[in-house]
Amino acid sequence: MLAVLLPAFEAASGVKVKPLVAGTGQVVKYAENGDVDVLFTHSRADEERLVARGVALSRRDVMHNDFVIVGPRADPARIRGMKDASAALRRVREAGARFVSRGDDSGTHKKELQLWQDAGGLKPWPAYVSSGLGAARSLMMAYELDAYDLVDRATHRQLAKRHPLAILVEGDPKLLNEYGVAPIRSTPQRPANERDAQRFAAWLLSEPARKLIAGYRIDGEAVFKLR
Amino acid sequence: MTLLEATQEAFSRLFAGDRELWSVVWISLKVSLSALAIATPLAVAFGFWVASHRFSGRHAVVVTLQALLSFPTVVVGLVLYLLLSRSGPLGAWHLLFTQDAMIIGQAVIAFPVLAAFTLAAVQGSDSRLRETAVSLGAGPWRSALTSLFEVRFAVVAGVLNGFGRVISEVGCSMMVGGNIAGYTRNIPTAIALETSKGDFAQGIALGAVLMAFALGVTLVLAVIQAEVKPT
Amino acid sequence: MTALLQVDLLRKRYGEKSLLDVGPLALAAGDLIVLTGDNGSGKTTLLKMLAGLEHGDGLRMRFDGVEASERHYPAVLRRSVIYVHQHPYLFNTSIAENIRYGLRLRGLPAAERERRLEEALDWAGVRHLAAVAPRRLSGGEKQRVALARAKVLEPRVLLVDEPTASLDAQARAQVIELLRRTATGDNCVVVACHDRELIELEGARRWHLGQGRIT
Repeated sequence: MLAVLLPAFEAASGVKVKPLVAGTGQVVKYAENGDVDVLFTHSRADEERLVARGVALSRRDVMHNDFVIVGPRADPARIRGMKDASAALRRVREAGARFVSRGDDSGTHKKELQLWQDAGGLKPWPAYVSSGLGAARSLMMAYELDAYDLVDRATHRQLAKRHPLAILVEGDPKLLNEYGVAPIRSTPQRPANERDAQRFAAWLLSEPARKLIAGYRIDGEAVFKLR
Repeated sequence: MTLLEATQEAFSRLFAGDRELWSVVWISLKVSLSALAIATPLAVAFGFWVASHRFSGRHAVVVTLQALLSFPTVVVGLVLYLLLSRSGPLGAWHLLFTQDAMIIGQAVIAFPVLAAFTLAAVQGSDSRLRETAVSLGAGPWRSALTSLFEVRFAVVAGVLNGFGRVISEVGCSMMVGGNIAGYTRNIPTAIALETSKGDFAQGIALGAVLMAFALGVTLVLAVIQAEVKPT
Repeated sequence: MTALLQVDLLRKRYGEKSLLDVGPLALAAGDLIVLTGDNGSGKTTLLKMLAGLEHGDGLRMRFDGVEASERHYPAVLRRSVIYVHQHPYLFNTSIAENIRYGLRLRGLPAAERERRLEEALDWAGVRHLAAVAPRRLSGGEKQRVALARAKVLEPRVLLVDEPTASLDAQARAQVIELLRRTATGDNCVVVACHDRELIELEGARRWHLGQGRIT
């Protein structure tokens, strides 16, 4: 998606964007250290905290996609079709089935922890694997180990051909993944390019950007929905 | 968090005996030492054999070995991943994302280092050495052992270099180990993860352990080099 | 007197050029030979071929009734014929361990081995060096240790290559004294030396190597 959005913004504005792709936890650090000018992330709570602390100027919703719980087709924990993601996770734990957690403070990992909160808290069991890897590699690990995994739909779709894991739980409102944009406040300690950051944020909400987002497809399917 | 704060926090965790941190250190040592235990006898035997035989293609073997010295570890990891993956030829072994897979990977990475050191040492050793052993009554095996024993410091230097390479490599461990907490998460993959989480203190603490290893290896190497230097 | 070592033929070529074409030669027990010849005359090659350390282009010899050829150097000769380099190589351990080396290979009981070691240390006058690392030794000391390391194995044939080359006068005298005592009467000793640095040994026969032949 970035590969489509960034060139379009650069062409429209003449501003050169250097993307720094990292997990949410690290992105927050970057923001605090003044290493970046604008955030484009999907951990609403973190972003709002940055705004509250004055690190970021504002936070606006751009688009969203959703998470799904995937797993082996045989579905040993029998969670297929469940509507409550937290209940599904609890059943995975009760079955002692293998589950691959990102374990990297990423937006996905934070989403998983939220789900566990509603499931009575995370109590790791022997087959709970904390991979410390990114979304794609965690999914590949889940496929290799016949494990369950929480993953965003786009990543699952991208890897579905070579690493066929079945979507077992989807559609729970708690599985929504919201992407927001947050320009960083410039201060004498950490000077940031506020002006261009604001332009980027405004552009992401403009009609041309919305068209690109709505039109973005992987294997013929739209990936992101607009606010 | 400033570098200073992160460093202070790192050392307080190190000395407080942070369990998660030391478990990562222990896994690192266990995997790397196991890998060396497997690779050393094979690589030393191979290096010795190449050094003491003339055969066609020998030059190619030597050049290949040299090239492998700086082979990217992530490529070793990738090849091993494809072999061990469930759709790969060795998928039935179920080794992917285990410590065994990491050990195999690191053994492969250490092999050329050990073999090259042995090869260079044996090749550079005095031709009178073998003649002396043979003339005093040593058979082929015994004179080979004597030759190896004479270059023991170089072999140890090779082992230490190999250790330095595998203890700090991240590419292969990440690929075939998978960075699983408490199981396949070693120092380098943990540093990569902690950094991505923004926990720089943990990263620095682990980095300090790694540097302590590197320093130890360098010191031992310096002592050995002083030992072998002819007077 | 029957020959201990009878060389019928010994040949070595470098390309078209003949380096050595020696034979017949006979060495009897009690023989002490000083082998002279210019640089490059083939003294070293000759000794190494006799010791089975270098393959020539032709070798026919008999030791105590056992045949050796350029292709096959029997174990009994290995045990009985020892070659000492011009600049001896000492193993990178202690001097005592160097002298033990061959004794260990011959599987001697520990007590006997240590007894012979003690004897050899005194014989070569290197007792004070027993625990020293070889790299700390002078050229003369190295040569004496190498002679002790060979002598302790009681070889029937001892081949010593230019043992006094590049030694100062005192070290040279010490080494020559050792060589004199190396000949026990029932072994035979061949000492190679350069024409201009002739080693005078009482009762020695002299062989001269020139144009690949012994005269």
